[in-house]
Amino acid sequence: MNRPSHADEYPSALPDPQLLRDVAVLRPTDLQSALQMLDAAQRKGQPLRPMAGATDLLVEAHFGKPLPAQVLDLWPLRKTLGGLTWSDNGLRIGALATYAVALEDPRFALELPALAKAASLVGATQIQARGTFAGNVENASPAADAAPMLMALDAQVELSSLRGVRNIALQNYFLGYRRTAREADEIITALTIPAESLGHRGQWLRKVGTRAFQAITKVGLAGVFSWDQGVLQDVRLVAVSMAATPLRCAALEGHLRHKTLAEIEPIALRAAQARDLKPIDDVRSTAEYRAEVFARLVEQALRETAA
Amino acid sequence: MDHQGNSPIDAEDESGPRASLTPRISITAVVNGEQRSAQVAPMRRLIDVLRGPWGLMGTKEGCGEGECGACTVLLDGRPVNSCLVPAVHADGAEIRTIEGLSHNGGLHAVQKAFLQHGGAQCGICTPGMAMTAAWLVDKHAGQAVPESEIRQHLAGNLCRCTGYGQIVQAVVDALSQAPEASVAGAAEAK
Repeated sequence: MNRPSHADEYPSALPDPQLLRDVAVLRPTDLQSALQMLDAAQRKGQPLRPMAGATDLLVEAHFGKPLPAQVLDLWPLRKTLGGLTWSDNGLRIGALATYAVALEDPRFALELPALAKAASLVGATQIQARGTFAGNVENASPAADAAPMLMALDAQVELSSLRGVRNIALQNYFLGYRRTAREADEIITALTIPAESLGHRGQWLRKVGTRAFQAITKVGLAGVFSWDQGVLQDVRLVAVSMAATPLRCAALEGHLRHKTLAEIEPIALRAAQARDLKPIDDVRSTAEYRAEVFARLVEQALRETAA
Repeated sequence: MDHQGNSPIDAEDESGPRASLTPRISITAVVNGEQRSAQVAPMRRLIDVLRGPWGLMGTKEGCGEGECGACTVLLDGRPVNSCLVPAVHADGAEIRTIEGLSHNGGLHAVQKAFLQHGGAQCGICTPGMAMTAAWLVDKHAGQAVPESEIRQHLAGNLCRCTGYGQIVQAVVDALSQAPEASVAGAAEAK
């Protein structure tokens, strides 16, 4: 049977099969071999992009972004790095743990309700079966769904290489638009959430998009609020789609800390917010909309967590 | 073209220049209960392998970017967008497509319910919709699932004919009749 070429079979809007056909995939069998492959690639000066569930990479391909020449397929490591581990130190989320795996752990939604909410808002069921928390962090989108809440929960990124293991606070991990502190010979092996964040009553998340699911965030807020006898003793606020990366709002946090709900003034709150955040107009929303809605999200979160 | 065995995904690979091409890999998966193999470039999409060498045209491509869910298949028991699964991840996996949803000639409870409720208009979203719905029904056999949860799980399957009402009713109905119907489905998935 004569088979037509793919160019004849599919409309041109679909990814050029030639591009996907040219990507080489390295398939490690364990973490050590993965780290050796990264090390060898770095020595040769050949970029090697780690891949987990591929949900970002294949969407990039669909939109014609240049594809990496070679990919390190971490998916085979999910037997060892694909789970959630609870201990006295907190929660360790393996690099290959998907949203679906986390949502099936009954303890996850109990201890980390806002992170569970974030996981359930990533795409929809099909994406949640493939997408990973670590992939969401490494993808470093300013509109990321899981990374901002992880940051608000004070998560750490565990990076491994042949040189060893290091931990870096997620709030220091994003260096700029789609840039992270990961070195070329490193991969994320886990994300860890400290015990103090587990079961914290002041976890709060809201994502504002065009619809409930399958939406990319126009503006969002991830926060952890520690109230004591009506006073906001501590607060961590992370803004989503408001800057080049998910961003901790230091000025706003400082403004709100040690205040009661009654002492928080709308105008002063917006002025403090403006010191942290300079949102932009883009295809999904406007700077003006983002700034006002973000302020209202902060106000809503304060009301709800103080109650 | 041999649709059963080790067939190249791109006929043009055979005649075109090979030097620049990434070596193809051999993948083997259990598809609808049968073992299938293919020689493919590792990053080619699962949907292209299903519709190409494996000749399973029931899986549809809508958006190609994981939004519409028309290409939904079950990969190791979970619904995934086959347009966002690289072929290399299908190696060693168990895959179920719309062609494998009926069992011994008997329709899955979800297929029967879609028929009864008229849960389709143009039909392009139907195979993906049915796969997600079948996963949900098999997972919650005999349990009451709130309609809001059904809608949440179907949120990754878009229907541009806006036929959601009948589809959701079909899933509610299939869940209420699920136990014996889904046993066949679950057994086949094993």
